[in-house]
Amino acid sequence: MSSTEATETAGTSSGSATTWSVWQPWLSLVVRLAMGVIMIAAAVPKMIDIDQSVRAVRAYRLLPEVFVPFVGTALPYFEFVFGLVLIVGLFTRWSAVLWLLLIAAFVFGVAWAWAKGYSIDCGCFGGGGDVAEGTTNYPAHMLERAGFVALGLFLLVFPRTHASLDAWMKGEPLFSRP
Amino acid sequence: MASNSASSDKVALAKKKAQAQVNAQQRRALVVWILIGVVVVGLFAALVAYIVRQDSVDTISGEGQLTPAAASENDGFGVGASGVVGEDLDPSHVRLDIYLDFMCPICGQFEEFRGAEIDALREAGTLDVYYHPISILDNYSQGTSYSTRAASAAALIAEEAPDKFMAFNQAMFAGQPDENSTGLTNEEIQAIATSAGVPDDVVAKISDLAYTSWTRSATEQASVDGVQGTPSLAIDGVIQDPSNNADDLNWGTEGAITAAINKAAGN
Repeated sequence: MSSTEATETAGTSSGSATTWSVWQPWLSLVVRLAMGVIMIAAAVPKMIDIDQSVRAVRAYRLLPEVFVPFVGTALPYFEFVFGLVLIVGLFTRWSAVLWLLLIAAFVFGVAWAWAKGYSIDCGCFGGGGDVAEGTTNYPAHMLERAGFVALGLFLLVFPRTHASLDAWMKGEPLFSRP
Repeated sequence: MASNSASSDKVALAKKKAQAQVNAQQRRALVVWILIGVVVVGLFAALVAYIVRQDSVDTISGEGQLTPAAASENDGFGVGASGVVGEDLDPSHVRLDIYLDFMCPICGQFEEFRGAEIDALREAGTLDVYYHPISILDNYSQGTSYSTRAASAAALIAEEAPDKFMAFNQAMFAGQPDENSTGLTNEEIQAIATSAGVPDDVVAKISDLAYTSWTRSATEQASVDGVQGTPSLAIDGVIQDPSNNADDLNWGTEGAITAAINKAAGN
């Protein structure tokens, strides 16, 4: 009885904080899963067409040719494993850092291509390489990148998520209550 | 009595806490090892994929796979004034390398609107044309790899019916399938070859797809040589990139090819 009263009194003064602490792990879970799915969606088309992935890396004209085939081949495998790590929720805060570094590197690549006037498609989700002039869409691409950065920042600040291996490792319940 | 039970409670709690900590450490160690395992497997898979790809791109591999002797050092089929692959080629002529993918609609337009202009320059003895049928649009034929099959057929005809290569090339673009369709079947490609005058014994070999491995390595070679899409043109070995370099040939402009070739020839 008294505890109900206490909650109700607390509810009037800090209701939004309570609501937030209930919602945050769910929201973080959605963000984390979305990031994992995005990574795997980026990896799979490239793994199916490795030749295209290599050509897409080459189109940026950033790396010396000796590294191009290896990077083009290994990148989708790396993305796939990283996607899995995100989905199971392992080392979530570090994953968010890695995500942001990765996006930063990709944004640098696209900005470089844009600045150099290369008419290329980013090839982020397979495909890629040079495209006909006028079909590149750098501003829309950068907007999409901004969304990815927002996802990464959210997870970096709020890495506590439901149903994560992080919680399981610490022996905490998978769906902890605040 | 009261204090006694309180202290034993404390001990039990501490024990429980310590046990939980040990469990957590064990779980952490397990998960870290699994993660290391997954990363090592992923790295190994990437390395294997790299080596296998490198091997098959550098060498012609696979049973029954052939390299066309008619291909130039950069995997093109040179055509001189006579219109026969490998004939009338002269290093003193201007060299035009044309990179094309039989699935690429702009390549079809290029052939339709600029084919005759290039033929005229070639027949006048100003120009040697090196045709590079490559395969960058295999993902646009619903899994039938039309680009690779078509390029393989072109390589076969360049090799075994060199006087019919130009006619076949033209007919393939005249009967070009839509991008993102299933492309043409091998039988349909054979029908086009027959209509272009390719002898029956050569037509019959189209379905063997003996030059698909070569097509793949030729495509990689083109990419390394700076080809970023199709159609691409290179004049005397220099890739033309008009979007970056205003002086480069932009074939979209009427008469630009003739002007650029004549300039290269010093006329």
